[in-house]
Amino acid sequence: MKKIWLLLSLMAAGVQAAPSLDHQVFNAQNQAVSLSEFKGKVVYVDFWASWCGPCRKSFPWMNEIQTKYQDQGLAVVAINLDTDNELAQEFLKQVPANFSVRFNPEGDVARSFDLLGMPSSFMFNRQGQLVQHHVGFYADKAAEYEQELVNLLKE
Amino acid sequence: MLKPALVAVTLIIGLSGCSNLGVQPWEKGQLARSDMALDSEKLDLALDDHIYFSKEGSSGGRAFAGGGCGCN
Repeated sequence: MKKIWLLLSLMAAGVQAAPSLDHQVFNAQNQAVSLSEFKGKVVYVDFWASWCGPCRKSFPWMNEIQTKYQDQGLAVVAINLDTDNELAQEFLKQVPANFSVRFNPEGDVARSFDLLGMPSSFMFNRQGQLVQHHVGFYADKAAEYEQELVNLLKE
Repeated sequence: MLKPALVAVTLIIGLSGCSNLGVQPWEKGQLARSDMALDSEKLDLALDDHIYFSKEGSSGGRAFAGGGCGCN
């Protein structure tokens, strides 16, 4: 009976995993770091992979908002989901990023965030609460995304 | 004692069993490879096309509405 409850609670734990900044990812030096290092800022978490076309389009925009709003406390964190790190590095050579890039080759963080498509982005306010989330990156909606971030920065 | 547990386990497996099927959006790297595309092999496409035309030639292949046999 105990085992069953253990199983039950394990399953429940899996279901409860939700988008938050309390997740472990790898940094460029392959050290495990927590997303909570960005707490206190407005955090734009983006999930990307080297094989994903729209991700490539989103990088210049993310570079732009990072330079534009980092003084006001915006942190852009792009989490790579490639299983092969070399592909990610190649992508970064072609499309340089001036924001924080993190790695989650296991995809467990992606599972917790319950991604519906690639890329997916999540906006957290300064209190670390999830406010908004988008599936895909559409250039014609970029102004909208930016406005949402501006509103969060003003809070 | 055992019966509710059994029911619970059956329910859990039944309800969650199919939740992890399929490829997740972030796992589509292999599918995105260019050699995984349906039209990655041009020669293969040409051969398929030739076979299709040979088989369907009497009914006009893909270019004509009818093959002249009067059967369609």
